[in-house]
Amino acid sequence: MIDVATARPGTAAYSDRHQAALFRENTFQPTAGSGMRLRVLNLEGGFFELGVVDEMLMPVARGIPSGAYGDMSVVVVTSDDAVANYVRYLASSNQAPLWLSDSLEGFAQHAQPAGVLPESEQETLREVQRLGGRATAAQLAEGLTIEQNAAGNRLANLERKGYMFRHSRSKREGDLFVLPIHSSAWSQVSQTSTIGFEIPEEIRGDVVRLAAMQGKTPLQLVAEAWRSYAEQNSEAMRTERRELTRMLEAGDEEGFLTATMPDLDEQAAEIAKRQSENH
Amino acid sequence: MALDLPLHRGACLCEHYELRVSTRCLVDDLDLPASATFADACAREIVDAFRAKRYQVPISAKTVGPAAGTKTLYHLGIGDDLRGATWFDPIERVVWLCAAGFHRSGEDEDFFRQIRPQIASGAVYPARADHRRVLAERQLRFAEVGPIDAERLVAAARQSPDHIVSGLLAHEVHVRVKVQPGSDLDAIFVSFSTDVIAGSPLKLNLLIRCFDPAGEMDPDYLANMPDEPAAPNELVMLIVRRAPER
Repeated sequence: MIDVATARPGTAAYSDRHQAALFRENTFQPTAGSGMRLRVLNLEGGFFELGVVDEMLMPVARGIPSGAYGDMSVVVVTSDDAVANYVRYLASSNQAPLWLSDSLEGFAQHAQPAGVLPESEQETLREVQRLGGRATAAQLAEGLTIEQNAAGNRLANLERKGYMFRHSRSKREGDLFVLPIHSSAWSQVSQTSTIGFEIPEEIRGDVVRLAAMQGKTPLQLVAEAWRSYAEQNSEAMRTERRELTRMLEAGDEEGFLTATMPDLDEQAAEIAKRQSENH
Repeated sequence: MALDLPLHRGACLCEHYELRVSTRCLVDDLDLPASATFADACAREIVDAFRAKRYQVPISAKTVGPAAGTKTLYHLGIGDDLRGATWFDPIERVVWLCAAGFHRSGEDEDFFRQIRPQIASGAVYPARADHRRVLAERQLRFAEVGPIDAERLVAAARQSPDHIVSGLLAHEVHVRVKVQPGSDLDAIFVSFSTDVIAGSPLKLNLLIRCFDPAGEMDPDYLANMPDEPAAPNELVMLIVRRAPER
């Protein structure tokens, strides 16, 4: 019923937003299909900058409510309070169905919605969990001793928010609502792990092929290229270091910035433009 | 303790992000020069509260104005009437103090009344000059603080020659350092991920400069750390330099 995949970013994505974006593209692929998906983002044990977490999750948090990802729910596994707080913020500000768990092993039992839900809906999630991860309005009404209409409304609200998936069935049977984090609803589980690397897209295929021919990984090849570059340019680099230090010691900060960030004004303008577009 | 957080120019450096005060807020609301450092601004009670209340969590439970997704402004308050509005920019990793003032219910100069048109026009958010300052100060911070951090890591590694010491340069770049001390010369091994170079030879040189600011050394580049293979994307450099006098 629900396709489940866990993914853990490689260390390259811990502080590099480009790597994080690559990881996101691999892990959370937009879909036009109707399949139900649960994606488990395992950040356990890593030290992730919030900018990186944002790069991994923000487009997803925005995309799920818009329907770009089909029926998808996301569990973030982290024990880092700052990351967890940021995931809560993302879920609330985008009305996105994100869940939080502090361990990978126990997430099916213990993951909590990261978004703010009224007590009645939290109670509904707990009851569906108790009922084995799936329930009709009639079953929920019986379990909570409430009217069937009220139970149906609660389930429909949670489905609208993405915390439940709905299987349409005949009127006599009643629609079945499924808790995506509950293992009883999973059809297949796969694991992926992505290690990104900084190579321009156009030549990435060539690098991968070349590395394979040499019995190396693309990452090793990149590191070798940098070693070779530094060895061949050692004298020029030493002169550059000396010059940069001279500027700083002379208090010539603008000179230092011009030498090291010639496009500083353009970069600042770019950030300002991007942000004003979001206002 | 919030008071122990390192300050550098206009920034207060928290674990995952920086705290900063926008130029408009410095000048118009706090009556400080645009070039004021974070330490200067801490003389204002609201900035001190900003540091104390945002150093671990970048947002608060209350908003200023309506919730606006990623542009939501969060409430900062101290005492009966000092109020501020903060905005978290997760992309640039900065929490900004965007506005500050006094809460005067029903009066024209009330903070919440005055901030309304600024929110509507977008003027409350940091401007281009603020972003320029962030970028420039980060670059300067790496150049100024990086060599200090590098020396600290080398000194720590020299104390424990059997271990690899890990740490951050300028709050930003993770490196691992191992020192093999000699009677006259030390062999200093430094490893870092090629990711931090981000495809820029200049960035590589700025990183090397942390360990050789005077431009006197010619590092060798190795495939591995001593007694330990490097990760596939790691660069290892070896600097040999005179040992400190004992």
